[in-house]
Amino acid sequence: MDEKTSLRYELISAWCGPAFFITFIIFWVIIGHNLPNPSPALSAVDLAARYIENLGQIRLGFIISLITVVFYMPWTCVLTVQMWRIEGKAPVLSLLQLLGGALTVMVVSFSAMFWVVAAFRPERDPAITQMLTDTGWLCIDLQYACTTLQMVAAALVGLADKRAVPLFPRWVCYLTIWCGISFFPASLTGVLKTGPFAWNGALSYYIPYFCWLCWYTTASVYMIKDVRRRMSGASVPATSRGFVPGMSV
Amino acid sequence: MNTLLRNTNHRTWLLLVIATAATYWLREDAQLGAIAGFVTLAIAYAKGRLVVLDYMELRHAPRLWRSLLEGWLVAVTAIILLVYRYGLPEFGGGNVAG
Amino acid sequence: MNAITAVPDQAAPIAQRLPGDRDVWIFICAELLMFGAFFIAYIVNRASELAVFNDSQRTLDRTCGVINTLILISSSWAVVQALAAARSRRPQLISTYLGVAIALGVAFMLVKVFEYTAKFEAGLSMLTNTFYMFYFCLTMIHLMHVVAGTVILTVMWNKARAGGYDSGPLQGLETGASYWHMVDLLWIFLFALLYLLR
Repeated sequence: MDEKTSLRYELISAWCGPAFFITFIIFWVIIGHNLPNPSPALSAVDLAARYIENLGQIRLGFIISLITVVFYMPWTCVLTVQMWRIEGKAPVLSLLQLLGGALTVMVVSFSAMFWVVAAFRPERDPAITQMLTDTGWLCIDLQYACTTLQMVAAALVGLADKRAVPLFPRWVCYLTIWCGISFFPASLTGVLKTGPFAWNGALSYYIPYFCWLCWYTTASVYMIKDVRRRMSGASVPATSRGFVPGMSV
Repeated sequence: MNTLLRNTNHRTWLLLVIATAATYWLREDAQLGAIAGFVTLAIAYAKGRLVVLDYMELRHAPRLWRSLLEGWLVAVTAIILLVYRYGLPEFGGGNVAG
Repeated sequence: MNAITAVPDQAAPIAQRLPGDRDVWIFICAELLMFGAFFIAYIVNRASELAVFNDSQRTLDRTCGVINTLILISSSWAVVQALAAARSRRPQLISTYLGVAIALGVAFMLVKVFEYTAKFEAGLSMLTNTFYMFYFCLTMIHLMHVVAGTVILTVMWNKARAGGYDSGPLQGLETGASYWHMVDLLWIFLFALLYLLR
């Protein structure tokens, strides 16, 4: 593959970042009725009623989410390549980031899949619907460590980047580590059913998920910038320029 | 004792220890009631400010950084104080549902 | 403001200067915001369950809280002393003071373990009530910061013993110190909220 084509695929993959972010917000958060998300303290009957009331939207939201979540994969790949270039011969952290990103996709997928299953037979015993909902939430909230590793690996490589124009500014790297750490309270969702540390609480849901998406969009911006920089360096014709707003190379 | 007071580090440490002892004593004295709560928070703020200015050496830091940390202290203390005040029984606290 | 920006950093010892790595300060601010959210969540929940919080608070071991406050205050002091020793180029003192700070960090953990054990033996856990949920969650998250801070101090102690701070810039030492002071600062508020405020 010639360099121009290769760079174009890199750019498309980097733009999968914003694509993931937007589709996640629309389908997973809004249409999937996760703002606010169901409380773990909800009784089985109330929970089943919540599914029945919003059946169409919940199904649509999570089924589409299960497709659009894969936008995370090309994005992870382009980040891997960008990190690999910094790391050189033994790309341990780049590969760790790749694994972390790939498994994040599976964690997010499986939780949404459990909710799709829960919505599949709304007439069944509410206790089973409750169990599927529990499984989905605990699946996504307790398995964040894959994502934390992905983030820490990216941050460590970013900090070791000594080029004149680094992939990520240093403050982004530190913020990345902090965002990864902010997930830790989510482990308490495995025990608590009420309060700010339950899976619908500010400290286990709103703040960690905000931090995750905050890191994700910030990283996307710098990754796109990095690809654009190399594109201009590779003297690509002007046709592929101009559709990325806010770029000054 | 003189060197202890002349050295900023030692003086800050001594002030922090005295402030901690004061809050401990405040709690022992149950008669003070709600005033003890306000004083406890005021002392926590003062201790936090000592840590920020002397230990973290932000007293002579660029204004942006100093005001960021001091702003955090003021904001956190103010919110706690406000909620604490309205949570007191004489303001109808404790009966709020949920 | 213009006059200030015009003065170069090296102009005077008391010139406006941020100790340590500016980017780590952004990290510290983010941590403070996170704990600020914890504190506010605590005080708001407390307002709606005043009796539960006040009764449960009485069962806390306030002496342990005070000891831990004194431990962290003193540990921070030792770190400040280590930095002062490094700045006045007294290398052997740097590792001594850092050693004191590390020992105090470990002492904090031991007191916490003792406290938790006593609570568990009394049948109290984070499921007991809202107060204990906050008590265990907040102090455990803070304890993780103490562990991380102690690891950072140990790394700096190793470097100090190898002569890493005998000459050259002290930015690394200043950065680690700032993080440790933040751990201290957060505990001051946790102590006031969990153990004292009634």
